Amino acid sequence: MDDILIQHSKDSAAGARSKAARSIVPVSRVSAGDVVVPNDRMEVYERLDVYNFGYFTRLKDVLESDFPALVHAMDKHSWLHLALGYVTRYPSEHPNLNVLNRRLPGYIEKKNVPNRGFLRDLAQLEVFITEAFDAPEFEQIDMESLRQATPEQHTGAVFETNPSLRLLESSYPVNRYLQTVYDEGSPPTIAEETPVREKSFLAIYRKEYRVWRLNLPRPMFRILEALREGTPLGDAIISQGDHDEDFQRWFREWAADGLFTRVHIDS
Amino acid sequence: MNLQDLTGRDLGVGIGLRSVHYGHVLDEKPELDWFEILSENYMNTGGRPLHILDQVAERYPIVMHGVSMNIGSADELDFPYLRELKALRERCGAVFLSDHLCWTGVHGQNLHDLLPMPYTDDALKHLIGKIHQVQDVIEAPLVLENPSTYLEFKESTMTEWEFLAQMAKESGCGLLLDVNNIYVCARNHGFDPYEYLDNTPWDHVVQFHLAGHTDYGTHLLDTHSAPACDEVWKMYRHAHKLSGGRSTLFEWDDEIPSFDDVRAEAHKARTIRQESVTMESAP
Repeated sequence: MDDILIQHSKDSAAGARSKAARSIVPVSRVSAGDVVVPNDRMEVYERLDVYNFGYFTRLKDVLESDFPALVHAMDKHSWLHLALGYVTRYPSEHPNLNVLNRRLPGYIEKKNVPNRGFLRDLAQLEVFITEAFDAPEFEQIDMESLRQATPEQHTGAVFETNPSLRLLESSYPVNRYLQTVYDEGSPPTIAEETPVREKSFLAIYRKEYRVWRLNLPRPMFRILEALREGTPLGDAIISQGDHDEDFQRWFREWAADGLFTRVHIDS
Repeated sequence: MNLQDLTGRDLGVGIGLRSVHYGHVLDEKPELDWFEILSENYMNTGGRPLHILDQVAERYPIVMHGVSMNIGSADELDFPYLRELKALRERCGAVFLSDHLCWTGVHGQNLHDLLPMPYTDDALKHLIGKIHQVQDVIEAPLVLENPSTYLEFKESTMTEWEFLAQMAKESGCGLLLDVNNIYVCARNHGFDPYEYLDNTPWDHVVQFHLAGHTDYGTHLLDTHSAPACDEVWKMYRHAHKLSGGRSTLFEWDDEIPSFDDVRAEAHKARTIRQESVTMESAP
């Protein structure tokens, strides 16, 4: 159900005329003036519009708070058009506004907008940051059990990863762009400069109540991805064949950063 | 816990706990009687907000105030939401749990606004049933706040204060009286705010809210972005006398100034409360 009264992207009068509204209450039988009282300063639809305008302003503000880099990358008109289209297509269905953003990357993917891939990945990164921020509480792994394991047990070890962990593979350096925005720099908008393709691999996770973004080399990204899916450690390492990365150093960093919450070792 | 436990618990003067003040509150441990949290800011999350709340709740009494219960809607209540609300109350030891006399969505959609209800017998019956359902889940009296509204329904057969009084009496719920909301509604709909206050069922009032609003010429909007106006403070003085003293909160949610500035505004309520005590004890 969309496009009715206070959710209509034009105004409440257009909302009342919409097909969705008429499917609930036929306008031929009931008009807004039959239900709402005007006063000496405002007509019926002007009173309804207080809610209509408030609705879009509020949701736009929430999205702008969640997507500072995406908003920076787009010109104001394009952003407002995108945001309005998004909340019309995907109105909030949750008591909490912290999930309103979740479908925006997919929505961008389906829109015919310039530099769609860059904008989608930038939006996805910003969604992952909010997901990591709000992920369930967890406890970091006790690495002692792993230190005491035999080499064979290491090979078969299966890890459960921290519920805040998100992995993002992009054809663009979206993390660098985001960091520049965070640093109050002013990276070029997509209207000023077409984003240059450059593969990037990123782990996003929460540690000590802050969200971190870690750039990873491709083989380490793939291994972490495999571990998150429950692949035994030995198989995850072998899957990447020969490479120049120091896996043990990366693994120690991941463990120290709390990326693992449980390890299953065959006794 | 019954209603008398709540109405008899005057926590003093508090302010809303807002993320821009987290650092100040944790580092400076400012003197304040209590904090109110926006319940939804600490739900559906397992991160920093809860970690902060745990620390604040160790030092200050907490009151929970929600905006998404949707109690006036024709939709069924959202029971997972209510259970999460209850779990949060148990976690932070909240003294009161409140929401608004309104609906916030229908057909599963949430408009994240406090939408007005028609004040009719049917709406009253519908609402009382819902209040009982909520109270069964949270195992405590629900406290409901009068909202700011920007329209009125033709089919309403009673005033807001008559509706509130009947709702409170028949459901046993508590009331959170927002003095600024009464003022905003009085200006928007043209009634006497003192008639509202004089007909409030004070034995159900648990708490006061105070806030600022914005004047758009055609209507007042409850923006929580400014100090309260003089008329609202005058109304609070009158309400305080009628109530005999209730927990009072100053809300500031937009263009939020420093913690000290918000607290200074809240402390105007403390001055009014103290004036009243001085006058009562004078020979």
